[in-house]
Amino acid sequence: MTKPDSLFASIDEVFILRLAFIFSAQFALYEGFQDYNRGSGHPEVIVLTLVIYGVSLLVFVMSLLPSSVVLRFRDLPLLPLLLVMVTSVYVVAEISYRGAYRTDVLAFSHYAAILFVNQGANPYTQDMTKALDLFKVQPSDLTPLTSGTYLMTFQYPALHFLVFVPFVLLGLRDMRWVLVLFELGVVLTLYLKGPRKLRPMLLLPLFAGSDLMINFTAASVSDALWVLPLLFAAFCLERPLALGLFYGLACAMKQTPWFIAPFLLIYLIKTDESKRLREKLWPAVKFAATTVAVFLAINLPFMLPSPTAWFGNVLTPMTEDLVIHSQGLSSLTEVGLLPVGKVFYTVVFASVFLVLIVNYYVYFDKLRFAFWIFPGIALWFSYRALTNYIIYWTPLMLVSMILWYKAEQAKTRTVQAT
Amino acid sequence: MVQSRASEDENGASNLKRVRKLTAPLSAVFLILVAGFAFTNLQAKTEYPPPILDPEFNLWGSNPTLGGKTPMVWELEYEKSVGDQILLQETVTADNKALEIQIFQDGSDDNLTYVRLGQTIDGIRARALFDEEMGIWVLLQASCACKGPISGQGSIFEIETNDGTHTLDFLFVETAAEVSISPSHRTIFLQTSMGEWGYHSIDLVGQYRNAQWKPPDRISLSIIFSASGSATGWHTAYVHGFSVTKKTTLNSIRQHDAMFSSLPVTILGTPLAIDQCTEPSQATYLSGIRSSGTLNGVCHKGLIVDCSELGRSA
Repeated sequence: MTKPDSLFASIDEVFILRLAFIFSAQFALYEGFQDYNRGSGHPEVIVLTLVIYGVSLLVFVMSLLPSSVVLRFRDLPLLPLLLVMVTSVYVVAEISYRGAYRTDVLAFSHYAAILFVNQGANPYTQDMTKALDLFKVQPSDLTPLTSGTYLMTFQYPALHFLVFVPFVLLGLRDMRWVLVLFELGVVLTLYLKGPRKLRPMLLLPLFAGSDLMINFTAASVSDALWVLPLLFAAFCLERPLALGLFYGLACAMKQTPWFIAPFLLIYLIKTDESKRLREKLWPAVKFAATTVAVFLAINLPFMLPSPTAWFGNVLTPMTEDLVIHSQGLSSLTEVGLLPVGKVFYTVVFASVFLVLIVNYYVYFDKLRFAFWIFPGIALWFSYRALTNYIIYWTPLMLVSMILWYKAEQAKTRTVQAT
Repeated sequence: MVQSRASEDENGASNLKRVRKLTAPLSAVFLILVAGFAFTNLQAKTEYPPPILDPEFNLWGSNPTLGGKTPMVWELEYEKSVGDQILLQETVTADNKALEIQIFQDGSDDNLTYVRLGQTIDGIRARALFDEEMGIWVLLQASCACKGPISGQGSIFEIETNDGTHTLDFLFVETAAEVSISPSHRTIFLQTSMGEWGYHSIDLVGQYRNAQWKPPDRISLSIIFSASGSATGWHTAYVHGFSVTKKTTLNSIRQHDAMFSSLPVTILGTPLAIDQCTEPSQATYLSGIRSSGTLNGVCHKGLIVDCSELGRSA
């Protein structure tokens, strides 16, 4: 005869679970109400809203049932969170935005995938203007240049459009659902990898606001694409080849994860101080070689036929005259309070980045798990510091928490054993 | 031997300790110095968004209501009766890429047929608009009376700005006229030769200053083309694009003179000596064409200097 869970579970664990129940129910209720407002008049939205309200009420009630019930249904908070995530993306994308993409990024990537499937075209040499019409992108959602014109090229590494190719072949019309798939992958990976008794709590930072998991994706922000492979990479920190594989995939999606590279290298070199220098460098070399190999394997077929186009496009933020647009420090310039040029922000960004690298190396013992937010900090000082450059590092910080927790747990066990 | 190794280790540890002690404060000092240096030395060029977006009508998107494609960035508004037609298209006319606006007025009623392409300019873009010089390349075709002779006023082609309180209408007309003034509305007539490309300065700053209006934080800028109910037939106007350039000083005008003198020019009006210019600081050069200013050291105040090499910039 086995004892019920409640006998093993601490009072704190049950308390935390109850909190997670209430949070998820409350969040679902909030999003359900938003969906009701956004989609009133659409019968399917009303039905979905009723389901969300029903699930919320159920989870509310269950949060205050006896501990044995709470523990038995410990995974229940996932249900309202995932339900509202999918429903809200649908309502915002299909009803509020009427199916239009709200970024040129997704429009260009989807169009690049179509061109690749239909004509085998290299998107780096193509004009993407037609995509705006095809996906009803509004002028306000384009990337303006200082000349008054707009960016009309595909500006990301090749996996950013190749990832959509199977879905184009399957006939999917809205690639936001691919982003949702990647997000579901992120949520479930974190959930399953998290310590069992704290799992529901792990998800709360992702849903502290609707932007990260709902609004940005519904608005066609494509960062979920690199977060998932980088999340896998983060769980493979002790295995350089797997780390390099997943990190290479993340880098082949978008440029944002490129900025974590020096910190990963330092992590690999400094993680075991007891080893000799050569032994410490070897994992870093294996990681770097795998990353480069994966990145080139995906990008070379497009890079080789027209290297100038590939480099010109992928390095767009550094080479094109993009206007300053930011929720970071450079927003002061955007409103005319700080009359400095892009080069000022580039110098400050580079300095902050350098300082973070040096400090990470010197204070590795203290900062070991903190490095995931460092690119977000540095990018906040750049001339284009958009919120998605920062907010999408949150899942990676949760990985750090999990790894830290597990390391502490292992240390405690070792101490107890000795 | 063992003692010396121990001493080396001790030194290493002590160095490491010193590095750890100094890195954080030195980082802070480094960042302050870099930010200070960058702030004092890298202020010269700011990259603000341009006041006018898509000034040369490069972006076109489908318009299911009107049919065909229309400029994406420019908000389209139009009014027409059942038999009237409005056509917008990208074209090349007289060697210049242009937005072509065509109106067919069938004359079946008295209603005005008009098309407006506009955008709202606010914040830093509005401020830039009032800090810089705006001009426009236009070509106005003589109306084609397909159903008999053109009657009434024919078509009206203009640039309109509206800040919510004040309106400026810059009308392209064959015969120049005095500025028409009311407390919140001014109409400026810009002499335009039919069938020829012409560059016109849109002097927002001057008009606001003369009217003693405060430069606004938000303004709408529109291209309007209309034909009255009596103006039956096809009416066509072309816009090559807007230019917004940094204001020029008198010195830079003189420098431009040297470069500009080789361009073939037609001077309309009587030249004055430069010292006869009463407001030389207002002299302007705009993309190779100027509405007033100096040419080869001679002032042409209030006159139009035409350039036969369209699109060539000084």
